[in-house]
Amino acid sequence: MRLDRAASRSGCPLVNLDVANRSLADLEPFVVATPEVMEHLDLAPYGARVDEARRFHPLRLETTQMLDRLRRLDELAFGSEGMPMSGWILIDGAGLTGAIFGLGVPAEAAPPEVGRVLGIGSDREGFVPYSMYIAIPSFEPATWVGHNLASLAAAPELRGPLHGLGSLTKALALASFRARHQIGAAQWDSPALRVHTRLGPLALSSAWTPAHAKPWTYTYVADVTDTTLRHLARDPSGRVEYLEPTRFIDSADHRAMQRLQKDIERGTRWCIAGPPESVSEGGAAGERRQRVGLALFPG
Amino acid sequence: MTRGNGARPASPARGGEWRHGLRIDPTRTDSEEFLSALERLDELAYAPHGLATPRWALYDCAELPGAVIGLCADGDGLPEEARAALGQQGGSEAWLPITFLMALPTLRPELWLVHSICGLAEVIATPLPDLRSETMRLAYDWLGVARVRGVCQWTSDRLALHAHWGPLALEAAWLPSHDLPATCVFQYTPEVVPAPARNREACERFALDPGDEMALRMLHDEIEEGARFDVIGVSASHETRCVWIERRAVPGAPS
Repeated sequence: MRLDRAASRSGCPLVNLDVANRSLADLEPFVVATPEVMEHLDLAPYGARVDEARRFHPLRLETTQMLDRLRRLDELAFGSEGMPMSGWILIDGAGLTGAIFGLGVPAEAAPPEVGRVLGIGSDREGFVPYSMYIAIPSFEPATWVGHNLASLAAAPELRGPLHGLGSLTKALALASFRARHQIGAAQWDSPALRVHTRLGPLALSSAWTPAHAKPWTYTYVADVTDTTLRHLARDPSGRVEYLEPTRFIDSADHRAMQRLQKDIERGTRWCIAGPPESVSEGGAAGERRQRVGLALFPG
Repeated sequence: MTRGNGARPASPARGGEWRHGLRIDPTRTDSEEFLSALERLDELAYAPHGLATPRWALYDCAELPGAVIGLCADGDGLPEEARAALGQQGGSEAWLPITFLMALPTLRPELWLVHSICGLAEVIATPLPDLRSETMRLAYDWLGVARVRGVCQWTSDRLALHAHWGPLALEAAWLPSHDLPATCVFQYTPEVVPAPARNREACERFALDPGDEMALRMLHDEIEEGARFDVIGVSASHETRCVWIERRAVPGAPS
């Protein structure tokens, strides 16, 4: 498998980051965005240059195959969560407003297991996305709302070789977008929280969100700096300062989330202090539970 | 319920300040009832076309980065059919959405993406005024929109709502990855200019059948090759609809 061969390399030629999983070095960055967004982006974040051929215009016919594969990647990550992204949302809510940044390989370099997982079989044409991060710029300057982080590492047979792909993708994407703040929404029981907290403590805007399809959604704001991005990318030079938790949320305890929401609505500023702890399985098969530490927002 | 008599502007949006109207913060739990009615209105308008906005997308892709702006009315002042359509059985003292659109900022401060324009009048049988154009006007005014990028299906009556503001410069005429490929993308400056006042050098005007897939594909191919087209109007009768297109001169190109 190409990824395994790449693991024997002594460095990571793709990016100016010391990425722990060297097998990710074989992946190439790509961007889907309109020309006016593209001109704003850093198209070589941390040295990961986006080749001209990997810059996709969302409205051109030649991008159709790429968009279809991105939808399959999204389905892999969010289909089982009941939150798949339809074609019109991919265009309206990503391609025409923000950007899709990801990593992948030319189709001829994709191993058979990748083709199977993405449902493209032995198609040797075009580019195969392994990961993507989607964000939309918001009202506030340099503030992007991220709404999708998907990677082939969600497939059990690819999890090992692609370990760290999601966090590397998000780090490179936020660097490319020149983001200084990132807003996001995720579920308390989602393992993605482990990725998001690699940016450091997350200021909470909501802890129980009926406006979302899954009310056990929290909304957060993260500060984005070079050192937090490096930490997100698992570069040893990266650093974040987590806080000492004074309160905990069990991802199965909806009442605790509602109490926390009331606190937030009264004006108390809470943040997620650091990465969650896994809670041993004890409930229904497949149940995901994690314990999340909270702290009052400093200052 | 008429404009200025019971209808109030409403805007679920994170952050921002509005000069007047009902402001709803989707990160607060007290937004639930209003947003559920709003989701229901979207579903009534778009589900028949397979384009309903899932609740997660309404939050992640509209309310958090941008704004959902519309008009709302006191539930008690609405016909029973309207309340029922919005999931409010019996009387309702709550403010309920009767129109809205979704507006998303872009990296160019003057340019906003506008989509999902809908109104109660189009989804119930009880006659109500169609306030969608008014909603667009208010939204553009509040947000300071100088340039709109719109996305619309060729056969939708919303195309005429956009075309009312002026010529729509086409960016795409056929989107294979969209759930409905017969979708166009365009930009315009939201200022109403009467057609005769436009001083434009048109090369050619023609009528497009929005149901003619081959014509849409050919139009898109020409756009990708550099040709420029404007939608300058939509005419519709009971049985037919046609979109008037103008081919613009491309600077520097041989005539």
